Amino acid sequence: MKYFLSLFLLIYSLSIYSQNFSVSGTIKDSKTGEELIGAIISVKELPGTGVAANAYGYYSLILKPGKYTLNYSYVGYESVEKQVDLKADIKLNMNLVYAEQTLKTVEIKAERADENLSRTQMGVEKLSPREIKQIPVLFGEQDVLKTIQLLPGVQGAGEGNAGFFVRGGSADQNLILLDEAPVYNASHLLGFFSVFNSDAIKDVTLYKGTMPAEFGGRISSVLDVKMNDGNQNRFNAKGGIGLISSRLTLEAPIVKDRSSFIISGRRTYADVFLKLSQDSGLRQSRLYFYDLNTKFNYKINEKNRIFVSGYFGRDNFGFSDVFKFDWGNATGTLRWNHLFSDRLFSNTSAIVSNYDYQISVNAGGQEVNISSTIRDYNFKQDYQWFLSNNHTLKFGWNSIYHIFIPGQISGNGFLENAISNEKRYAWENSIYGSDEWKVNPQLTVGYGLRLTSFSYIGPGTIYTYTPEGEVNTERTAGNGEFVKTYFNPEPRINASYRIDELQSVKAGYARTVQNLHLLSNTTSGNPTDIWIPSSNNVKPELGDQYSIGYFRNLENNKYELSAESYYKSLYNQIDYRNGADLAFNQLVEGELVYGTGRAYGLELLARKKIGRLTGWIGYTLARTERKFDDINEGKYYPARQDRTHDISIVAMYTLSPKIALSANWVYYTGNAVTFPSGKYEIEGQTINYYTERNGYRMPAYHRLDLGLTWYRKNTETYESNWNLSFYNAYARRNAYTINFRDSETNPGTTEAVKLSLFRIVPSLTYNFHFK
Amino acid sequence: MRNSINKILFIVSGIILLSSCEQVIELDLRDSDARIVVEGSITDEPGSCRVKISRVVNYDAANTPNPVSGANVTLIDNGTSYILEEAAPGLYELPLLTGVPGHTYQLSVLANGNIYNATCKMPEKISIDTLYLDEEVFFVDTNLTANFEFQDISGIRNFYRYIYDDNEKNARRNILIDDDTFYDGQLVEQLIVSFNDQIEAGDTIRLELWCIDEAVHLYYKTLASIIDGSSGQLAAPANPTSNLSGGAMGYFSAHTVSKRTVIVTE
Repeated sequence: MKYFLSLFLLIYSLSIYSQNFSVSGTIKDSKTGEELIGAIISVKELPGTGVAANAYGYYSLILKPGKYTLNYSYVGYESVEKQVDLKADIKLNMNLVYAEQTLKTVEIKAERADENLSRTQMGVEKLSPREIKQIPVLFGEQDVLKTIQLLPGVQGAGEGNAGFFVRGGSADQNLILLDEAPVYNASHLLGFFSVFNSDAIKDVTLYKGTMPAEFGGRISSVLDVKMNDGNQNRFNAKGGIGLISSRLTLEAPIVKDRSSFIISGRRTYADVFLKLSQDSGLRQSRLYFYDLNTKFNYKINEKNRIFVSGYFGRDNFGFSDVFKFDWGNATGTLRWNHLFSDRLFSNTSAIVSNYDYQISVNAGGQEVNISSTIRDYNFKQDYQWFLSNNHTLKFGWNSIYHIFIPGQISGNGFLENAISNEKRYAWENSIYGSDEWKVNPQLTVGYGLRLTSFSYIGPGTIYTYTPEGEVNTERTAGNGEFVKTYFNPEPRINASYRIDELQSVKAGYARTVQNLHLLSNTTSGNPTDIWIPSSNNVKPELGDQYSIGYFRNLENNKYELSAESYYKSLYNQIDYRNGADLAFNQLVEGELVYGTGRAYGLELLARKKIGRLTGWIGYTLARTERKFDDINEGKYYPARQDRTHDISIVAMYTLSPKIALSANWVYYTGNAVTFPSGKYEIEGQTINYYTERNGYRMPAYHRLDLGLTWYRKNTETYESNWNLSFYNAYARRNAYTINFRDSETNPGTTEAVKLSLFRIVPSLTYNFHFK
Repeated sequence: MRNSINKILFIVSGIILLSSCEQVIELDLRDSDARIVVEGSITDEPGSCRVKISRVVNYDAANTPNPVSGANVTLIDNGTSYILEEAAPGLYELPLLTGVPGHTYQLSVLANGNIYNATCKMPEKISIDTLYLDEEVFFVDTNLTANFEFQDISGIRNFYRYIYDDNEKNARRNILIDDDTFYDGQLVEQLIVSFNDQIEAGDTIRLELWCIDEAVHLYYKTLASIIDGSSGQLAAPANPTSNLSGGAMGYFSAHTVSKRTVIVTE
């Protein structure tokens, strides 16, 4: 910390010699009063000078005294110019007007639509809820996690699945944040839905390249999801009624311009249809989920504001009272924004994250209850210092206490004496500092360092294992004893060079560290998969990513083209011994083996953000490999998520003010998969014989989805629309799994059987909005 | 437990997604190496020592047996060496030997110039105390259950395999294995649910309790995970962990067998 301070003081002393003033304030949507994250403020007289509003819509621009024309812009909004005569610090809040996507306004173009060129970050993808709403998805349920899978470098975990892989990383290597709170299991209903209710979401940013220094904890990507704050101006009610789920959102100011709230809920009702079934077994089944997002904010004065936000979601699955299985996340965030001065912005957060599942079985006179929990208590302090128009500093610290309750078993019958797995504890601390330095109007360099310590702490039984995975030694660690601590520096650097008005090149490097590891050996993931901490046996996973990119805009920023390439090295990756028991196993660390990985690829993206027709075409050429001593004779083999080609085309077209059409088409090389090459008999049964890990490919996947939105009414107080969508419109039978079995039709032979889940899935949703 | 949860989840997700469909497809699979497969066992029953040797065939070939004849198969029982006779192609037997719990057996197979070895200690014998039939409602159907009891030996790790047979009306035999993690030293009550609805009065239900070695338990466990119907869900299916050296598939097991039968009444 000392070094950071002296570094800052050095930079500060360099820039202080000339007296500068600040223009600062908050940028909001004129209608809803929601802050616009990432809105751009630029200075007409000083090309290349500008600043983006932070996560709370706050900006501060440091300039020499003089007269300036400031331009405020945000994609999809009408930009505003403002003259200022800077003789002292100025407060300037701005409300921007959303340009409705109707025919008469599509000609509006944002002046600073070239943010993709000027931003130093690479591998950043932003999606607005408006984009998410138009793209057709499975069951018509708008979904952030499925929409990001349409971007280059991001792959879905399987048909209809909300799980995703970024640039060759595993599913657990994505840090998924909801209002700063990590979400440990981001999917509902066996992965077919994500936990994010798009009505409650304001902004989604995915960092797949060099993540900024304020983020850490996962090695592959950060998905930063921000919830709406609640309409500041008037009461609003909106919602949707669909075939499979319905949702309702209420938001209103409590004290005008000071305080507002939002509450948003969603529930699926597939089980209601089960009740209608002829089959009494289905009638007694339960399968649904619900979730609730809520947020409250209060502006104490110009310098202080607090936010309280919470998420609670649960999946419920069961059969009569014989079998119950439910799981879900709960997160809570308390935040305090404070302005020390117009130039020094501070945010303090206290966060709780919880994920747990409960299983109870009551059959045959036996009753068994199993539960598992991971919980975090998280304290975070972030500062943003708008030092001069050349330097914006960010620094802060973070402390997280993790509690792992892996498998608690209770019940009567034969499990009466079953031993629950021990709780485990860890403490994670980090400090970071970063600077975005505008070296000259062409060159911007962002550099930063994050230092992480992770301590596995007692009480608990500490095991060491032999190379074969048997317990070697065993001892008891005392309460609060530091069993093992890892220190890791995570340098991050990226640079952007603006060649001319229309093109820029960028490069970046980031090291990332991950101290929480998800153990899962099924293809689609499971609610019962458990998280474990780094320990005396499990080392932190490390990632190094190098990336370069070329960005070019065409026709007055109407079209954005980009090409990015990355190379990633991964260390201390985890796999499992053959026949490993991952659940309810106190000695699970003995089941793990460690290896390395590498991933590299090229991502091309052409995007059109404004006009009647918007959308993108993305293409990824990639390779992802892993290497473990005991797998494939210690040679590199393709990871399951290795896909050579991945294409996605997304198009949204405003046909008339009443009708919007959308379509997306995806194509990708099948995942790497292990198939048998031979067979033999054991006890008269045919047994598959496997030769190499992931030596085969699933068949290529492709699919077209179509969507139509029909705007019925649009008045000052009421708006409604119908949304009709067709998932898999040409009914391609994509392989979900391929199983091998003895043929029933042709005895004495074996056959490969493809299971495909969905043909055409039509869905219809009615959306309404009282304003 | 975990597997059955997975299975239930998989079944229910299948029900929900009514539009799912299965289709037999043609796949171009590579030729496999013709690896040796050894299925060897000796039990505490007379004349039970039997070793079957075969080879792996290509996946798209017919399921015809591919026996390995002319192999040299020897068994060493606590220092005494026996040579097994080839009774039928690929089937090697030792009719006169009866296994003894506590003895360590070494199997050695010399086939086509390669040697495959395995060592297995026959565990202490545990017998079924009682076996009776009952009925239990599972979800909506009433199913026949075979209930049995046995006394686990305390202080040591015991590994079991259960063989359940209802007059071979079930074509497919599930591999049922267990260990005493949750009931060391206790009187164990177990039940096996029959999902076979063709059982009628007069049928004989046969149950066997095997005490198996830890390595054999691991073999069956890893075997069961790939013949389980949901193997397509496994992230990385792999060949079972064998206790044979030399890269052979299969296993060599020295185990005890306790048998009971019960007749179904109305």
